[in-house]
Amino acid sequence: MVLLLAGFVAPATILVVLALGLNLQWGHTGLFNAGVAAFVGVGAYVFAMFATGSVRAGAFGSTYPGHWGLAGPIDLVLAALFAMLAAGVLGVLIAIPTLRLRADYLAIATLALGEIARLVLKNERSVTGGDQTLPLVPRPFDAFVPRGPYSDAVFSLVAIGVALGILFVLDFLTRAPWGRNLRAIREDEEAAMALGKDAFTLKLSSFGIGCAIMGLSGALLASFNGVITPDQFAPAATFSAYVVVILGGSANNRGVILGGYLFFLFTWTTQQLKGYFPGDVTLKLDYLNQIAIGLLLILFILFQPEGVMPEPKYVPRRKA
Amino acid sequence: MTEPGTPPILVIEDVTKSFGGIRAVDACSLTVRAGRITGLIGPNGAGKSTLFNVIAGLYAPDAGQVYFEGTRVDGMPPHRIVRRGLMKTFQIPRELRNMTVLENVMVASPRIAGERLTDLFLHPWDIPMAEADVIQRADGVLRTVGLLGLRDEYAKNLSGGQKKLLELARALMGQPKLVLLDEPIAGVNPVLAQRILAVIEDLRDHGVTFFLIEHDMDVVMKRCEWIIVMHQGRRLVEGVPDEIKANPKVIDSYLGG
Repeated sequence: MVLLLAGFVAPATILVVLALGLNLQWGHTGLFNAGVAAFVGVGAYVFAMFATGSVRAGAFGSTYPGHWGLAGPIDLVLAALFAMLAAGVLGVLIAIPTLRLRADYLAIATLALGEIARLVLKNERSVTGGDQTLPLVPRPFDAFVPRGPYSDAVFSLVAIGVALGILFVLDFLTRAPWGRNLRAIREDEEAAMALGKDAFTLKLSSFGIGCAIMGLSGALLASFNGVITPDQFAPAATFSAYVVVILGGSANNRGVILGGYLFFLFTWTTQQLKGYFPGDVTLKLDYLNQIAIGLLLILFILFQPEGVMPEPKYVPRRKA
Repeated sequence: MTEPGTPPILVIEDVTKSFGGIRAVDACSLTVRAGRITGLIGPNGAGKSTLFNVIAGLYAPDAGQVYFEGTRVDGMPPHRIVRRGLMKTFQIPRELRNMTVLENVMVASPRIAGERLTDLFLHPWDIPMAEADVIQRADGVLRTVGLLGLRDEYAKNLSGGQKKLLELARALMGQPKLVLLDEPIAGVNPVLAQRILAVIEDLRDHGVTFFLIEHDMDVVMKRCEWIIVMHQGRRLVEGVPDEIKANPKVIDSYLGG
């Protein structure tokens, strides 16, 4: 039972980390990032490239050069930091020209970035290995725990630790005046500027930090799955992240965590049910799952737009 | 026109701002002097609100200069102009809807610890103290404008007049030297309007300069010490209220015969 749970908790927690990053951008700042998958993908590939060694790739006559092949625990922590840095820098680069424009331009630019990133990962075989899978991406504790359910369980603990760390940092940032300024921009950017807030810098830093967290979730994903392919980072991944944030509660970090586990439970249960149905139904279950999620999203937007856990109200004690 | 004595705090020289083919502000020049309430009046479409937005840095002028306390501020981003001590309220209240009244006022506080990421990471321990101080000042401002009872209400739930008070409260929280008020009492009931005007006059007595657009002529003539009339994007005349009331050009273009 515990081991079955590990297979659920680790990927669900990775999704939670991703959604926490998106919540900073969308929930707190009101920035619409339509290319979430790209930042996760960049994080995953940067991590994998640091962590895997070179291998002859065969079919296309190309060689996946691998990169550093550093697989010790410390190396992998460094690789994860590089993954965050790469995704964060990419986010800042795309945001600098678009954040000065009207809000829609960020969405358009990130939407395009999502496709560009996926296609680059797919086609730049000499760097990313393309569609041929990379060598197995290591986990930080491979030297101590052999792959299997126990490794999944340990990974779950690592992922939870990372998620708690991110939660701690995000709570600190969003409860500070910095976070209040982000919400002011979300509510009315021009009014915030008229109150002396540097909207551009605030939006840029919020977006960059959010993208870095997405990159971290990509690094966790690569390490947990061991195998990554460019098509994992299709727009559907972006959509899932938004569903989690909206279901859980925009601008409520705890709500988003709850939303992440609920959402993943839904998908995971579908996968578990497959064993109990004949083959032709099994194929349809994935689609039914997506239809159900779509319906759930519509119902939430209609009847509970603030999500399971609404944004908390800030009510400090009276001092005057 | 008598030449007034206090030094200028805001000088506008030949400012022009067009939208498409319309010259909303057309080579307008005027001076606002420190420590008093200056009224800006004129017919609808005279360019008053556009001029305010140019002064506050929300619009870049097509031509001309804006000087605040001798420093050229046109072309500066709005937040830097605010930090120099020039704040503007909006004609239609722009409350931060899903934030509480208190938060709306706290946001307006000038540079406080914990606004910048570097502060947050380098001095995390300073924030609770700084926040307590901001809360105390915000509560004080809310008491001044009479909104303390609604402190923990979401701003979107306030009435139109209360939102006007909130606009004023935010401007006060910024501790400005010059406040641009765009129709501060339009659509406000007489009781609230009196309160708003009393707050303005009290602050004027404490050295804050006000430059306000208003269509209520009784209020303008009674409360403003100096009046500037705009017409078709330009300054038509200026003077003390009695001069303005008697000026035939103003009667023609605005007050009516």
